[in-house]
Amino acid sequence: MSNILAVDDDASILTYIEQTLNNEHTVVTVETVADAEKEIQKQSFDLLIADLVIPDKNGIDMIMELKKLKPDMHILAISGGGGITGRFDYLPIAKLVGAEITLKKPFTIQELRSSVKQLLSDN
Amino acid sequence: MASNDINPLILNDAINSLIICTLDKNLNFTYANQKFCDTFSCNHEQLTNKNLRDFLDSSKASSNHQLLIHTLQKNNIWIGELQIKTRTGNIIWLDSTIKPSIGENTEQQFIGIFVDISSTKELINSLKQRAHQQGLIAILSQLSLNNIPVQDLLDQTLAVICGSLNIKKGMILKFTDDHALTVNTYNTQHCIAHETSIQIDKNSIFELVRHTASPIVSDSLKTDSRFEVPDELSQENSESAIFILIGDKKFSYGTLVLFTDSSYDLKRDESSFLKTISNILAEAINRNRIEAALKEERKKSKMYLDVAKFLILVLDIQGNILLANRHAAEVLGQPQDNLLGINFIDNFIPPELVDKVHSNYQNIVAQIEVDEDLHDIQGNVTCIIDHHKKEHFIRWRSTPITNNEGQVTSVLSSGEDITEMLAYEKEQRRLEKELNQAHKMEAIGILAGGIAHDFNNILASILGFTDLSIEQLEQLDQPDSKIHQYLTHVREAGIKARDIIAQMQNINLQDESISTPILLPSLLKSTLKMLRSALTSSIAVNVNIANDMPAVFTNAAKFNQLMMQLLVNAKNALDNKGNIDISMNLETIQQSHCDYCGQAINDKYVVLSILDNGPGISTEAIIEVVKNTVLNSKNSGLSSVSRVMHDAGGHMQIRSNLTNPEMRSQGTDIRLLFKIASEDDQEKQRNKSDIDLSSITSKHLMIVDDENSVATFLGELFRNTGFKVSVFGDPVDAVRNFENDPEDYDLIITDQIMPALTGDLLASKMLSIREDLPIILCSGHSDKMNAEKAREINIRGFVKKPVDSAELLHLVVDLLK
Repeated sequence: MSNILAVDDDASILTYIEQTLNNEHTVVTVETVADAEKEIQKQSFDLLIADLVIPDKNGIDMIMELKKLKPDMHILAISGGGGITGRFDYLPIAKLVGAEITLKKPFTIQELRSSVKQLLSDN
Repeated sequence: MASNDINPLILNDAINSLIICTLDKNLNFTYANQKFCDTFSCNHEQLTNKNLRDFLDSSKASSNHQLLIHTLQKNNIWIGELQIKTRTGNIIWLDSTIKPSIGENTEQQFIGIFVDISSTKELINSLKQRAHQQGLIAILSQLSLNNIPVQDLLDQTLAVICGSLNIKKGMILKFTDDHALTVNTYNTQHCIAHETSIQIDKNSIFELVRHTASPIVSDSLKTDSRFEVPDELSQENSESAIFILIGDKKFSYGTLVLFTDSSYDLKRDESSFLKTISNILAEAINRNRIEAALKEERKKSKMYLDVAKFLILVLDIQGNILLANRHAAEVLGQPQDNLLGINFIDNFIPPELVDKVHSNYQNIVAQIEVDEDLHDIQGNVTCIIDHHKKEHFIRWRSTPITNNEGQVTSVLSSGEDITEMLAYEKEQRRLEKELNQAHKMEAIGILAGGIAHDFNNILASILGFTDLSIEQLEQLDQPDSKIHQYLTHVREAGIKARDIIAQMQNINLQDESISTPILLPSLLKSTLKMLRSALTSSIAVNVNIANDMPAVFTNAAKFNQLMMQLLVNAKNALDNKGNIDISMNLETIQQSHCDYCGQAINDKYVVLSILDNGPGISTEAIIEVVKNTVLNSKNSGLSSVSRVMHDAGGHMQIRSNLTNPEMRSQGTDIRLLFKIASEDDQEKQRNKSDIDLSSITSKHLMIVDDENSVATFLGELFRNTGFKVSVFGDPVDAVRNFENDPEDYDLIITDQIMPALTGDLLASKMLSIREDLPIILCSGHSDKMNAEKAREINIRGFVKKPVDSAELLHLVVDLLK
């Protein structure tokens, strides 16, 4: 049983992640980076599932900042790819700044579950 | 009549009317009658002991006097004219008869009988002089009409005047604004032309001369009270001088100055002689001046004509060339001389238009004759063919030239060669169109990227919840229920949608600047999938792709645009109804050539053929379309297609049933020849596409920014990511450090605006040491630096401030790949 924080501006995706993982883990979902920062101050998380395109902040910056606050936290980055602003893919960049696994949306529940399992079993 | 009788009174009268004297053998006077005394202005006493020699004017004709003395000494009779100087100094002419006679005392003596012929002599002399002067005037007039140089004419005139009036020295002074110049000086030896400047004061003699038509005589140059004589003239060792104006009130060239030793009694005819001469001079000078000005004007006009970048032609009413300027000769491709006399319309108008242009020209000429107000004929643009069979488009403007009776004799036309301008405009329009197209494509790309991203998010929910639902059903042990089946369908559809979006993203993320080895069949399939909607259902698209196609070089992003262009062209050619056959084969092409670059082709290519069964296009049209000399809406863009092909080492061929009879079916076949990529090329590409993070993050970055917070942030960003980072706040320091070991750094990130050294200069310095060094320049919106300028000086990366860390990271990874 691990603590997972999921950040995505799309509520239905958060629900989908929560529903997929909440049998085995405690999942906290937030829609903004600001809320994510607040949650991280409150309690410690083993895994951050981060969308890379969030309205209030660039996902890459968010990962870097949260990683600074909690260096031990695992990170799984998710994205629809091909950012809105640029024409490049954020996922490889997320890997560069510390995301251990990246998943391109849409992903299956199997892909999500196995990725989470892989990251948390490292502990 | 009694012959011997004469009335003594009459005789006395007769004797008294004669001038009579007697002389002794030494020619001393022994007797003189009253008439003699009157004539010689002396009385009897004054004649006593005087000799005839005393009265002979020694200054003149001395040989005549010697002859007289000689004759008398030989006791012969002297009959002749003598010039006598009277006691008061007057010169008189006497018709003289002096005969020897033996007197009472047998002493030898002479009787002289004289008749005063002074007035007759004077008349004759004056007539002679006038005849002489008239002769001189005639000669000078002739000279002046012969266009001899003014200087020479002045010399000649000066010599003639001085000679004629027996004057030793003369000069001509030319008036300039505030002073006079001596331009010619004559003395009895020769004429000299030289320049001495003499100031003209208000009271100067020259002011008077300028306003006086008649000669002015100054008896005493040094003391003349009427005006000041400049020192330069009064020092001429001459007592007096005569001044004559050359010119008139309107145009005064200068003055003629004649110096005389003593006061000169200028007679009326001499005065008018001088006036005439000065008029001749003035006229000649004036004519010369006007002719020089005209010549200059003519020279200028010719220069204008030659310099003008207009064709200037004068044609007679049949269209024969009467005048052609240099530019016309250049455009028509013939020397100016060769053009004269030949018919412009027959020689330079395209043959099919000759008759029409001839009749139009005749109409224009006729119309002008009818309508006098039609002075300016605004011609249309006409096409002409030069000597080298090249076409020019000329915009004409013409004016009729009429004779005194108002008939049109010729037409002056100026034409502007607008061939290049038209071509330039065309090219401009084409570029604009291409740019618009490129912008559109870029916008569509960005839009598609955004849509794909959002769509993936939606799909994530759809697929995710479908998965969850299926899982729930399976957990409830209902794997075969209808709902399970339906959800499986939803899932399958979702996955299909995901694949399409992925394809779209793949294409969109391709780099547009490089061609890479690509497996064309899959790219073609996905492209056609995307483009099918662009074609109407009435057009059948048949695709036939051979198996085992090798990878070829192309630019995936541009390939889409290229296919879209070709399909749209085919669709237009078909007028929305017909077939498009798309086929791809591996072909060995021999003894053929590229229709775009003309290069011979003898190699193996992957050939993509797009064949429509439209009406086909002619060879001329193909050439025009490919070279893009004519804008054709139906076939536009083929040149850009061709460029994409050539950029990737390929070629293009166009076949049409109109030009290639061996083509079995009707229509146009665009054949794209793709260069085949070798195994090595593909291997390299595979290595390139995988981002090896571990190798990248071992690289050494230099960050230069004078703003501490930015420098620190960037340093942190890259250090946290795993790079080795050196941060410099001072650009000069940074350059020095780089110079110490240029190979130590793998990439430079620099700010543009820094006080000591701007980013672009820093980049230039470093690039001069290491040409291949990747540099990223960060610059604010307001800076004068932009991506294009950065690229010009070989800076490979450009990021706008405020820096987006994800974008910067992406760029760094991209440049280090």
